Amino acid sequence: MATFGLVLIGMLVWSLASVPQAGDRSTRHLLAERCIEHMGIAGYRAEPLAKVLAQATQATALCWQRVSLPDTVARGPSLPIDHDTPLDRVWFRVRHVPVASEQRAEPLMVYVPRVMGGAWQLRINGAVVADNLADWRMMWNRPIGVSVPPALVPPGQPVEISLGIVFRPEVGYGMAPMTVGPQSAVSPRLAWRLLLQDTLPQASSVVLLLMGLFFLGFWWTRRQESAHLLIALASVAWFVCNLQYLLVRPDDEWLNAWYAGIVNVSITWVMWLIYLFALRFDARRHVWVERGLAWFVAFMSLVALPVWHVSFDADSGVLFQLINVGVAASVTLLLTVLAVRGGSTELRVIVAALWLAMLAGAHDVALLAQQVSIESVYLLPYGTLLLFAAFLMALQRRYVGAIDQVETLNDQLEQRLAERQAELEAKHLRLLEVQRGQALLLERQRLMRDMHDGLGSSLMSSLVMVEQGQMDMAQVGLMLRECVDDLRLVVDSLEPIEHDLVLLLASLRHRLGRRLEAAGLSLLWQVEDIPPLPWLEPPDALHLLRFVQEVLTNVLKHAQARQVLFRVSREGQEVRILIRDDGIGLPPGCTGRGGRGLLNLQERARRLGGRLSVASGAPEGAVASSRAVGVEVCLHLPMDREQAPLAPSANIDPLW
Amino acid sequence: MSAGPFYTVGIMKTISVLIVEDDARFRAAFTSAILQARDLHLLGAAQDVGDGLDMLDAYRPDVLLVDLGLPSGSGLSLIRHAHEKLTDCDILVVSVFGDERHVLASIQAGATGYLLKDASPSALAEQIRLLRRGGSPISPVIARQLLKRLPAGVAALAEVGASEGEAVNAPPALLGLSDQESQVLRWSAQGFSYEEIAQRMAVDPLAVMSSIKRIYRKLQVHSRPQAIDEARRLGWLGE
Repeated sequence: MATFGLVLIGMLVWSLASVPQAGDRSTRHLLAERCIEHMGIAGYRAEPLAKVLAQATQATALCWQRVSLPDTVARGPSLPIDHDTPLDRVWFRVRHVPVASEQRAEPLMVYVPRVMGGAWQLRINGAVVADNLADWRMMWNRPIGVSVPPALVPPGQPVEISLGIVFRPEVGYGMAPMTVGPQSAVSPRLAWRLLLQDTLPQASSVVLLLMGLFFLGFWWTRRQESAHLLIALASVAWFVCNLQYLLVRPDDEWLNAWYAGIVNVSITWVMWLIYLFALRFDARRHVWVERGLAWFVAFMSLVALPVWHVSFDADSGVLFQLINVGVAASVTLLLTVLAVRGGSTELRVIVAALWLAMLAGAHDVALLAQQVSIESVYLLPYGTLLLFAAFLMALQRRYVGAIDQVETLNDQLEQRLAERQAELEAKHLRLLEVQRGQALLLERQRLMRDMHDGLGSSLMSSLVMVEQGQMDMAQVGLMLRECVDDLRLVVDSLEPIEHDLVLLLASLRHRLGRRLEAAGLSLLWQVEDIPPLPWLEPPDALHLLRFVQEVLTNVLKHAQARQVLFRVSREGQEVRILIRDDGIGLPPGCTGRGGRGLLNLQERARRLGGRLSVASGAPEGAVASSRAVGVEVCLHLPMDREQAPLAPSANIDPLW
Repeated sequence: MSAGPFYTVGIMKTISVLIVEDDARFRAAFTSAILQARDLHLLGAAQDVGDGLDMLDAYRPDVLLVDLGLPSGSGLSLIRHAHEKLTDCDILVVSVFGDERHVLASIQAGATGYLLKDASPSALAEQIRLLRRGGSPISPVIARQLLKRLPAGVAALAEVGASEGEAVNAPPALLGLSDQESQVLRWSAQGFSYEEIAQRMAVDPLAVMSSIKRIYRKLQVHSRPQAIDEARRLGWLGE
C-alpha cells in the first residue's frame, strides 16, 4: 500500500513538472500584460457575467501593466459575500511569436491549466474565439484548452492572445501561465491535466461508492459489524462531496445555495465517518472523542445550511475548510498517540494514511485560498483513495485474522473432540471391564452355588456313607460316575454354543448316546435346525441340560422302556422339545414319579421361560410298540424371551 | 459295550502304540488298557515331550497316544512332529472334557482321533482300532466349528442337493470338502450318530467315519498356519 501511495505521489509530482517533453515546440508564457476594468455590473450569475464579457474593452494603454504568471489576487476569506458589489474584469495579453518549426498549417492551441474567477473569454487578435459561459461554474477545476481557427492566424505572423476573466473583487482572481503552440504539442498537456484533476477523481469517487455499497450489503447481513456501515456511509458522503466534479451547479440562487451547502458539509461528514471508522481499530472506545466529533458535525451541518441568509459557496468556503482541517489535525494527532502507544498494525497504517490525506486536504484548502501555485492539482481525491486503501487493508487483515482464528479454533475443537472421544472410549472400556467383572462374579457365584448344591452335596453325602461303610465299591463307582456326569453338564453348559439349542442337545446326545444304548435303550433322534435363541445363556443351558438328563434318568429308572423318541421342532414362535418313551406310563393319578420328579421338571420349565406338558398313554402315531403306553414329556420354549422369568434365588436351589 | 459290526477287527496284525502322558495314574490306566487288548502292542510310555520325541523317532509307532496338556511343553509340537515325520502314524489325542477347541487345534496339527480321559479301557482300544481302519470320531461342537469354515452358499447348496437326493455340482469348498463330507458334518452337528448318518446316506458306518478322517486331513493340509495361530491364541505355544 505504501508503494501505491508513493507511485501516486510520484505521478502527481511528475505531472506538475510539466510532463510532456514536446515543450520545445510550444511556448510557455510566464510574462503577460494585464489590465483590470471595473465593469459596474453586479450579480454572480450567468446573465450578468455574459453581459460583462460581451462589453468591449475600455482598456487604455496606461491600463496595461507587465506581470509575471501565475498572477493571483487573493483577497482572502471574507464573510459575508455582498452580492451587490459590481464585478471586475481582468485582461491578460500575450504576444505569441511562432517558432520556426511552426511553419506547417497546424491549428494553434492555447492552454491554461487553471483560471480562478467567474467566467472567461479568449480573444485572438481582438476576435472572440471562445468563452466558458456554458459551464462557467465548473471553471474552478477545468483547464482552458482552445484550438484557434487557422483563418484567424496568418502563418508565421505574431499573434495577440488576450484572456479576460470576470471576477468578484472581494474574492479575487487567479491566472496560471499560458502555453501556446501547435495543437499536437499542446493537447497532450491538456489531456494529462484533464485526466489528473478531473477524470481520475471522478472515477475514484465512483469506485469508492461501489465499494461502499458492497460494504453496506455486508453490514446488512451482519449488523453488529458497524465498521462496515461507517465505511459505506463515508464512501457515500465522499461521492456526494465529489458531485462538484460531475454536476454543473444550478444557476438558481436557492438551489445553488443548497447544493453548495451540501457539498461543503459533506466533506465534514466524510471526515467524521472516517475518524469513527479509524477509532474502531483501537482496542479502547473513545466515547468523548466520538461524542465531540458528533457535536462538531452537527454544528458544521447547521452552519452550512443556507437558511441563515449568509451564503457560502465553494470558492469562499475556505474558512469552513480551515476549521475542518484543524479538527482533522487534532483527531489525527490523538489517533497518532494511540497508534504509537501500542496500537494495532491496522491502526498505524490508517494513521499514516490519515496524515497523508490530511496533508492533501490542507494543500487543497491552500490552493482554494490561492496560497500555493495555481497550477497545482486538488489532491484530496488521491488522499482519500489512499485512505480507503488503508481501510481495506485493515479490514482485510481483520478478516484474515478472523479466518485464522476460526481455523485454529476448529483445530482446537477437533483436538478436543478427539480427546473427548478417547476419554469416552477409555470410559467405555472401563465400563466393559466392570461389566465383564460383574458377569464373571455372577457366573462364579452361580457355579459355586451349583457346586454346593449339586456336586458338593452328592460328594458329601457319599463321603459320609463311605465313611460309615454303607457303600460298596460298585456303589461308590456309580456315585462318582454321577458326579462326573453332573460336572460335565456344568462344563457343557459353559461351552460357547452361540445360542444354538440343537448344538447343545446334540452334545448331550453325543455323550449319553452310547450309555443309553448300553442300558438297552435306543434313541430315536429327530431334530431340525432351529434358529439361535438369543436368550440361551449358560445358566439356561444348564437348566435345559439338567431337564433332559432328568427326563432320561426317569425313563431309565422307572419306565422300563426300549425306545425313546427325542424330537426338537419349531412351531411358530415356539420351540418344542419332545421326549416320549414306550414304557409303562405313569401310574394312574400320579402327579410325580420318582418323588418330586415332575414338579422339578415344571420348575425348570418355568425358569426357562417355557412350560411343560406331560401325557401318559400312547397317543396316535406314537412310537410303534405293541406293549407301549409310555410317557410323553414336552417342553415348550419361546423363540424370544423378554427377560429372565425369575432371577435365580439367592437361597439354596430347591431342586438340587 | 457291545461291539457294532464296524468295530470287529481282524487279529492277524497287531497295532503298535506309544503313550505320552505325564500323569502316572492315567499312564498306568492307558498302559493296562493296551496290554489287555491282544491286538495292541505297547512300544513304550513317555512322560514328557522330550522323551516322547526320542521314542517316536526310535520306535515309529502305528499309533501315538498323546496327552493334550503336557507340563514340559506343548503336546502340539509332538503331534506336528509325528504328523510330518511318520506319515503312517495315527495320532490319538487324549483330553479332559470341555476343551474341544483345543482338540480342534490338535486336529489341525495332525491328530485324527481324540478321546476323553474318562473313557473306559475298551473304548480306548476301540478308538485305536477304528483309527487304524481309517475312521475318525467327531463331536457336534467340532462339526459345527468346521461347518463355520465352509462358505455358507456351498453348505446351502449341498443341503438342497442332499434333500432332493441328487448330486450337486457345488463349487469347490474352502476346505475342498465333497458334498457327502459336508453333509456328514451337518448331521454330526445336529447330534446324529454315525450309524444314523450312515443309514440316511445308505452307506457303511465306517465310510462315515472315514469321511470324517478325510475331512481332518483336508483341514490339516489347508490350515497349518491357522493351526499354529490358533494354538498360539489358546496359549498352547509357549511364547
